[in-house]
Amino acid sequence: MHPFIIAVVLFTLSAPAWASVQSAYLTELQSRARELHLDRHPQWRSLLHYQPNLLLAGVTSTVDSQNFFIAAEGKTNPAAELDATLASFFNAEPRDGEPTQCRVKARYEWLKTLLHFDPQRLPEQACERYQAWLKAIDPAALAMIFASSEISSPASMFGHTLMRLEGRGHEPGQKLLANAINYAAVYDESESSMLYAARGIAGGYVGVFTMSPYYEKVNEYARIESRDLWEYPLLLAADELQRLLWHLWEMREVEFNYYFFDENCSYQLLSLLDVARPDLRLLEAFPRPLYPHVIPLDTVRELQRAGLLGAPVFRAALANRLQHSLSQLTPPQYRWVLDYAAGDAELDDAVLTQADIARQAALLDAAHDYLYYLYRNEVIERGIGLPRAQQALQARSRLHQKSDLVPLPPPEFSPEQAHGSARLSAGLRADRRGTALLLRSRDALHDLLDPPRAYLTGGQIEFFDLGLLLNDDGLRVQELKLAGVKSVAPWNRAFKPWSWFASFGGRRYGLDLFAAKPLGSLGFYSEGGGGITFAPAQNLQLFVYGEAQLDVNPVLRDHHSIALGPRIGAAWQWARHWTHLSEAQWLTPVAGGGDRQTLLRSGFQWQWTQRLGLRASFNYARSQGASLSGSDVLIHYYF
Amino acid sequence: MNKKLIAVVALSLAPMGASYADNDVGCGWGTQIWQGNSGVFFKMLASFTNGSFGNQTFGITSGTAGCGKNGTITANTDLVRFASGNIDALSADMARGEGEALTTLATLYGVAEADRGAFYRLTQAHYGSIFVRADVTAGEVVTSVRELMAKDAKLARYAA
Repeated sequence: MHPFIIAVVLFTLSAPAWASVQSAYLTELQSRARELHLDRHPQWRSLLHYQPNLLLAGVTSTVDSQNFFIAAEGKTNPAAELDATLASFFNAEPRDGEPTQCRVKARYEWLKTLLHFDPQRLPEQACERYQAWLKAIDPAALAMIFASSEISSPASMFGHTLMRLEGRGHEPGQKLLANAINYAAVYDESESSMLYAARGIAGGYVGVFTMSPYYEKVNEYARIESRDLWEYPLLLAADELQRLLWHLWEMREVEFNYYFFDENCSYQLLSLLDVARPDLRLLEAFPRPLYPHVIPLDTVRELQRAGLLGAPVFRAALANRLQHSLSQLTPPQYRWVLDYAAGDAELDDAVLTQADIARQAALLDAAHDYLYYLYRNEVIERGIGLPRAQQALQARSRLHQKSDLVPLPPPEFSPEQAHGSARLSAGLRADRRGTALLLRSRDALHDLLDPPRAYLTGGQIEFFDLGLLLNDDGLRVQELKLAGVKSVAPWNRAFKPWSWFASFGGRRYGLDLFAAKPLGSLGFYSEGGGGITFAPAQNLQLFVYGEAQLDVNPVLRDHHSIALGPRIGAAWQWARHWTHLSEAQWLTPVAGGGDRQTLLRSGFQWQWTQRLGLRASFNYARSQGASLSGSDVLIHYYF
Repeated sequence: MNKKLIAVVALSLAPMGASYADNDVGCGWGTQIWQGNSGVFFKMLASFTNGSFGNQTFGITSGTAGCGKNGTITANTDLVRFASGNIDALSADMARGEGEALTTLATLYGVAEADRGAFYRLTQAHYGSIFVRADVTAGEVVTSVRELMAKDAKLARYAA
């Protein structure tokens, strides 16, 4: 029958008759969906963000907004949700101000394709708001952006990913005008509690997808924070990009509980890509809740494996560019920049005026950037820093030459080449009393002996690092570090970060720390300290800390010990494959029943491939006149 | 928390709304150089939440409704919004006669690639008059650059 005739017939049908046509068609669609088992289809799971339950059968959606679901029990019942969704497409009542067909655009389009909706019996409604939005962003390409870490910010060591949606017709010089797609926690501007970290970890924040100009993100990461950005083109086909946008549209304003470690930015971006290309199933590589954390670097590597990433573009952070510039200046020039920023030198200084014009330009650029850095890090006030910075730029504008300094080159290793965040190790421990098999397992992420490729040099962040010893006495826990952070951040005249460390968990005490056959028992510990690092050469860091240690262990008189003391060390990243770390500690008990101790550790690692490394450590402990020296040899497997 | 969410939702709808009864605040006319959030606490918070203060919107960069007088879009809207978000970088770029922010600004004025060099030289030569005070605003920068272009033989056609 001709569609026009159908239309006329339908038009002339009375309303109840039309309703019965529709309800018959709905029943037909619902039963066809059931025949096809669409409620169990991977794409339906992706669209609704269903994840298998941990203990019971069934699934639960990670989405926490009730109005995301059409069915009341939609969060846990994919079949009911599917039935209700199909029914809602016949409903003219707007949902969030637009037809449901539009509000759940990706679900509608997917079901329409699979069930071949008949437009006569299920008329398609116009999506004006979606179309206006699409027209405004005019999407052409998508990029994955990885934000690297900053040494002074431990949370940043985790990394971050976002996406950049580039509009059609944007010229090469207009990347800044693209839109950033970000998944972030929503928090109140008035919030000033230091509890934000605990809230971020425990799901105390609401997370939403946001869209904002990419230049805002560049300013935040590369200018205010000192985090380099890596921009990877995402190799998606046009229909895949369209599906992603449909889904993004239906995800707007939808709330999740935000978990810093697992349901985070990287996890949610993978969920978008899973919808875009249904056979990717990227999230399956990070099964929750078995997988306790989704680490941005791991997701970058996963995308690389899936063949989704093009060659990255490196965008250096302002502070890193500045540091590179300063390193190329002569000592008097370097001093002039710092003195000018401090107000102790002026623009008529001979160091500046007698330099080549191109070098003058470089010096004025550095003076401005350094003042800006100091302001952004709250070292200098706006009222003091800004006039001096402006004065430098005024002088700079009269020099019609470029700086003669070499720009900061991209690092040799980009993030997809980084080692995997999880590590399994096996090897031997030997001391003069015997030998043991040493087994280690670390959930995450990086220590100072791991290959620094694409990680932050001098940054260490570790979670759940378990060490086991197998000897004649059986299998024993040697240590269990629950969490640890360490920063070895070079201090110089321009950049003055503190170095510090903190960790806690379970360990043995005294000589048992390094013994193949520990005599005592496992106890609780926490330790922390602060200090300063010098970098006499490019890849060498020397550090001094003052530290405090708490051990709670039955081997101790009073079952506890608090000790203080200095710690010195050296870290060296040598050639492409070698790393070295040596540390010496002297501890003096100030409370409880501990002993005076001297501890020395020296480790080397040779990295063979991205996944395999060999580590050897030499350890020495002295406590109450007794001493023990031993060594560990381990093969590390990163994944 | 809920109030914030409501604000996010309201803002997120702004690009789609027919009218948005606000003045130019949303465009950033009044933004000055060296403003906004920074400091240690901000950085710690930002790195834990991966968000930033303000602008947790579902907005769009160009074709912007939601700013501009009484919901109307002025020709300057994109320019002012961009200048406002990048005023620190623009200041440095103009003094240097190069840079990504400056290139982007040139494209927003519609300056063709062949005339960009002239644009960079113009803003560099008049740097002192564009950033004449510490409290110069993004709106003033956009206006004075346009006025300078109008007086320049090569660039006048982009200042209309």
